Amino acid sequence: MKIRSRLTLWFFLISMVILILFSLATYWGMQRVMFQAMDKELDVVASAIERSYDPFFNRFEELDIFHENVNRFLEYYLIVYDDHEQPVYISPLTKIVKLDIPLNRERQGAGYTIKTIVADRISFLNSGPEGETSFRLINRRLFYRDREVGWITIGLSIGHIERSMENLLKVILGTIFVSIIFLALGSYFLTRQALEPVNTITRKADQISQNNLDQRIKVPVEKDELGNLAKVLNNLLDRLQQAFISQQQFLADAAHELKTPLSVLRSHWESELNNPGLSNEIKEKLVQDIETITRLSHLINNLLLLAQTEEIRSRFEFKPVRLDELLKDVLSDAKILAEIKSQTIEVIDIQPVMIMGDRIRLFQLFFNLLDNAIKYTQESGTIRINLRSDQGLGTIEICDNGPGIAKEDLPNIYNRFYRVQKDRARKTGGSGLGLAISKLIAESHRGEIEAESQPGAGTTFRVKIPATD
Amino acid sequence: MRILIIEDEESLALRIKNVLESEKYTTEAVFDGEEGLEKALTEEYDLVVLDILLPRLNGLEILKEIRRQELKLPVLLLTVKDSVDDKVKGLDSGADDYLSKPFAIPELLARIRSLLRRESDVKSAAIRIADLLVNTSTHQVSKNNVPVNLTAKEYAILEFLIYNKNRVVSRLSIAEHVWGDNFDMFSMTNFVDVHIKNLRKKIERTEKDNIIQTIRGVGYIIRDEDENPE
Repeated sequence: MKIRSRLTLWFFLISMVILILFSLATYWGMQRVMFQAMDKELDVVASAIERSYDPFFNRFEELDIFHENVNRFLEYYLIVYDDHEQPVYISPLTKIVKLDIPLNRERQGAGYTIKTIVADRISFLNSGPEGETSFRLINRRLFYRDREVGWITIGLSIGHIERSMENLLKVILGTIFVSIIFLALGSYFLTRQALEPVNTITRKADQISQNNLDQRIKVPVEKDELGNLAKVLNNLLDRLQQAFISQQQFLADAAHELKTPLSVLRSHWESELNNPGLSNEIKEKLVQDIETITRLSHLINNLLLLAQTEEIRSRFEFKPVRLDELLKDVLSDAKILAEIKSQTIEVIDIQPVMIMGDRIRLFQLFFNLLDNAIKYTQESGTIRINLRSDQGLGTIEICDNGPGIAKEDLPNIYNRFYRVQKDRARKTGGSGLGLAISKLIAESHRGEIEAESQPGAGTTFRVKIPATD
Repeated sequence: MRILIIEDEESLALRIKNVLESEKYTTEAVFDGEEGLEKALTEEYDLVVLDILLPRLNGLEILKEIRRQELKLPVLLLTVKDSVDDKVKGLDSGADDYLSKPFAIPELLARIRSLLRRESDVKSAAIRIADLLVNTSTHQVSKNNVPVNLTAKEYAILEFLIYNKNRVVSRLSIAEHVWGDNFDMFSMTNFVDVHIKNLRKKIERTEKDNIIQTIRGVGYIIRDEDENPE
């Protein structure tokens, strides 16, 4: 997963967890506070009843004036038992509401809640649509000077609290829902905002190749981590560029120093070919040496060409070129080589295509490919060539029915000095740079080169170059 | 014949290049002095067209360096100013000829032909080898006054051999001077053989008619019978 998605997800999840925990805490805390207040109120009433115990008459005087003393006395669910477990007082509400009071419950005054259904509509019960409501109750023993004189069950409807809690829950759920939307959008945009400079840096760094090593990444903000990263990358690029320039310079110098003596050597030997004092055998050897020397200086030239990729486009002379006509020229030369090996070059189709290109380099590219096909195809083999114009591309295919290239070799054939079969290549000559240069030429024309091969059946090279209108 | 143009004014360089190519010369153009000198010193050319005012390395310095290396390479100097001083300096530095800009293309071509001839003791634009007549300015070839049709490459090979008459030239030299050096030499030497075979079919009528001689394993030679009577 991308860092951005991960960050978004984590930010979102953590915010959600915090939000939900906070909501739960609010909900339960609120309920608890309300219940505690209610329990306290119930206890106060219970204590007032307890205090009104008259030992002489063995009764609770308070109960006689209960309806006068206690506000909203009708709302109370109240049963008072004497020490013989006989109810001595039952409030009016108690007669209407059926509550399943656990008699065996600890009579310690701890609050508890019981749900019930009340068929009659009583406004202060705040019942739900089905008449469901709840009561908060406490049971406690009543004492007179450490003597147990009875016990009490006292409760109040908590319908109004439940309604409030329901409303609170709705508000909380609504808030959570809205928050989900805001959090999702917020975390998405925030991480995007935060990571945008990273993307900018990535894009820029990606664009910088050896062709534009002088470009630098724009440092977004000097002081932050990304600014630092950009600066570090820029320093790296500085060093890369330096290394690249000095490597280029070294190559150019080395090539020059190597080529000069080679050409001196060659011109000396070349003039010796006309020395009447030398026998033909010696001259033959001289020619072989000249060829070797030339091969060396070509190798140096090609290496230099491959090393100076950054300059190469500027060295090319781009002009409108009829690819079909060029290919016919290449073919007329290649046919000569094919005839030596009794091979046939079969032209499938040559459609007219106009491109912008350097004639000499393009000639070199296609000649290289045909030359390779001829070299690696056995005597009296067939080479097929095809030039199609489609979708704004000139596509040239050169197929041979030679030995083919093994699958594991295929990705490497454009590498410098890569040889598929070492012993074979020696016999066929070539520097091992031909395909590397072909690829370079194709790419300098904003084109591409690809190869398909079936070992034993042959190889197809395909070059695609954008056409002009 | 292979010609190197060292001229910083790209449009002019490319125009000269086009003209020379249409005249069947193999031509390369470079636009700065250093690269030009490097090429002149290390590659095979038959002539250099050299501008005096060049970036990085002055034309006169290139000329001196070429002469210091004792290269037998004809140099045609292009001078901008019509000043005597420039011409004197140029000729003293070893230029074989000069041409003041602006110049007419036919004059440039004539001077190039004349320089190539001078280098190879050919006397006139029309060259006779036995019964073969080669006109280097019109590129027409005739045998016993019957015109012979040659392809561009066949003509270029023939011309190169004639300019180097009485000298053995290797197949490699022929390939380089006719095709340039952008190709794999070892295909190209095969190439030379085939073209020479075709050329022979056209200009040699009988077995004994042996204008182009093969020196086995070494190369080819055209002997001028007039100068080496048997």
